[in-house]
Amino acid sequence: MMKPSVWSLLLILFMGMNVASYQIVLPVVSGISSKLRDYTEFAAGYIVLGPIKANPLVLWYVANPFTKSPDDLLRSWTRGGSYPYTDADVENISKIEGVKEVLRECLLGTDLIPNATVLDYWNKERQKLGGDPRPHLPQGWLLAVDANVLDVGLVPYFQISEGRFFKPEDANAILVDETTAKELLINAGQEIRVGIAGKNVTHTVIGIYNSFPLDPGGYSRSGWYAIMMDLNHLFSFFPANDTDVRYSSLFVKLDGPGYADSVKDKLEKMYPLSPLSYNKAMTESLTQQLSLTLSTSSLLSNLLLGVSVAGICVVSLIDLMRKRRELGLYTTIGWRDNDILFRLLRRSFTLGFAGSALGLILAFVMGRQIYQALISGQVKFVVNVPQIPTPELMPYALFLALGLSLLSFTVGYIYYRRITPLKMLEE
Amino acid sequence: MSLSNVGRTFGSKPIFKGVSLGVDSGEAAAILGPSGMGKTTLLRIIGTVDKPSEGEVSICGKNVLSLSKNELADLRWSSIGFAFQEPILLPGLSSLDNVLLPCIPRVKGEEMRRYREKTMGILDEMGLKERVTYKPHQLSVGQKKRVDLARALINDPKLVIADEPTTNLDAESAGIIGDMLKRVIENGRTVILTTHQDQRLLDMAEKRIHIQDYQKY
Repeated sequence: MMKPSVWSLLLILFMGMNVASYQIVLPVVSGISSKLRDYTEFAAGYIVLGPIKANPLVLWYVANPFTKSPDDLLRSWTRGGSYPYTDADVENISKIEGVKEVLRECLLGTDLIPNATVLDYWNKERQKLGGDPRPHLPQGWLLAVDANVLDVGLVPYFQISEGRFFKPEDANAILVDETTAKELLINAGQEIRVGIAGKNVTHTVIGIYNSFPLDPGGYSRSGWYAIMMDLNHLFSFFPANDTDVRYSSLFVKLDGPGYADSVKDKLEKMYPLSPLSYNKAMTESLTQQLSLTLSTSSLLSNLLLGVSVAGICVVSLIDLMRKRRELGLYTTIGWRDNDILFRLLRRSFTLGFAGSALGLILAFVMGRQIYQALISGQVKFVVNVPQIPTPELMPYALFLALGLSLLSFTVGYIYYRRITPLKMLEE
Repeated sequence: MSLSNVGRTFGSKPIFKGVSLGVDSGEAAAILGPSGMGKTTLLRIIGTVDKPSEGEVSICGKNVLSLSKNELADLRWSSIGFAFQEPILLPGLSSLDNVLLPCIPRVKGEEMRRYREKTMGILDEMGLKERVTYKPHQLSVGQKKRVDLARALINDPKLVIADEPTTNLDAESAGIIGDMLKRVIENGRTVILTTHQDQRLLDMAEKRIHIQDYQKY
């Protein structure tokens, strides 16, 4: 086993730096650009018509659908309470000029997870209202949403921290709020029983979501114990007529930012009691921050790439110049050109893969800290910190190692081709 | 080995010209002259590492100037052993592995095992039996020179080239290297060497060239 020289170690370090920067910065850049795209679209127009504002605990007692029989359930919801909107509202709003799409949300207080225990938040809220602490959670929030809402509409409010959003083929699938998941030790992929309409139904947890502590105009779900599911899936449990179905919130997607003010005015006139969530200034500020973070990350990424590529070229050359006599020796003792080049290639690949492994270790050890240093302010709330090294990028680290090895070899090859055996043997 | 009117010029500066020499099997030739006059350059031309600016070089009946790069490499492997003035040993390898270095791309499996045994024998003959696993930095200058010569001999070359093999060495190392070269000549191989003042080496050489004699132009 040959001992690596200082130059070899430096080469490994540069290669590692390249792989690590790729592993760390690329997810940052890709995460932020995707979020920026979503935000630009959001800034281009989403207005949320929320339920009538009241203390959630009071609303539970007033409008808890499960205190009544399933048949009476949806009929009992009133326009002035938690479920103010009907399909007729959806149709009317859709007709307003500048409205592209109206998506629905239904928010229910329910005995979410039977026998769930140790829910500090719930008990603190109860104690604030003068109630006694309880050993288990009797109710939590069930957010039923149009599957399309999850695509873009909820961008300012929620994000998936583990697993994924819904897909059309999903059956009995739910997303669980991060706080709930942490307290009840729930993971993505797990099956849990959820209380809906008096029944306990087994559901698969396809993801964990968290709610941003941001409130773009009054719509915040932060700090709730909640489960999210597809609206149509929820309705399959209630044998109610279509005309009886009501919704707690509507997400109004606009054709563009130019329509925001006019649609907002019309909605305020149509629904004077409904809170209207639209904070253009905040979304614009976030868009700017995301854009700045994206530029910084891209610049850093390119800088690291440039430095490490230049470093690899320079160090490869210096390393080989120091091994000049070694190359001369190979020639003198009868090695063919191909034998010498193969040795250089093997060395480059060995260093490349060692560098790649080092890069992955660096990414694992420092990735999260670097990621968090790169994003700041409100951006932290809207961009997921991914697992680093990113599993999806791991195979590419292999290709990157191959590329860097070839780069290092090419430098060596050019040097070897340009130098005569006599020069190699010079002292 | 034969040289015919060989000359070498670096840029516009001539080093030597008109060198002719023929050395048969079982003979030794010494190239003599002060430092910096071109002795090593001539050895490198003979060792096919450098090309003459003029003249012809023939080794084992082959005109080396007409050979391709691969044919030259094959000739060096099969017929030429080169011991450097300043030994070139790879720092990460043991004495044994340094001697076996020429074999690495060409010898595999059982044959490599035989070369390994042969290397052990040569190193033993050179008084390095206890040093086979030592790395270069653990060896004295004389021991390094011996390892370097052992590597030149590993494939029983017909032509052994030794550049100042005993210069600046202790008596023990110089004696061992001298004995080894003597045995090489007795075995019917050709030795070309350069030396400054080692009388014992000079006595082995039937033919002598004074390099300064070829610098009158």
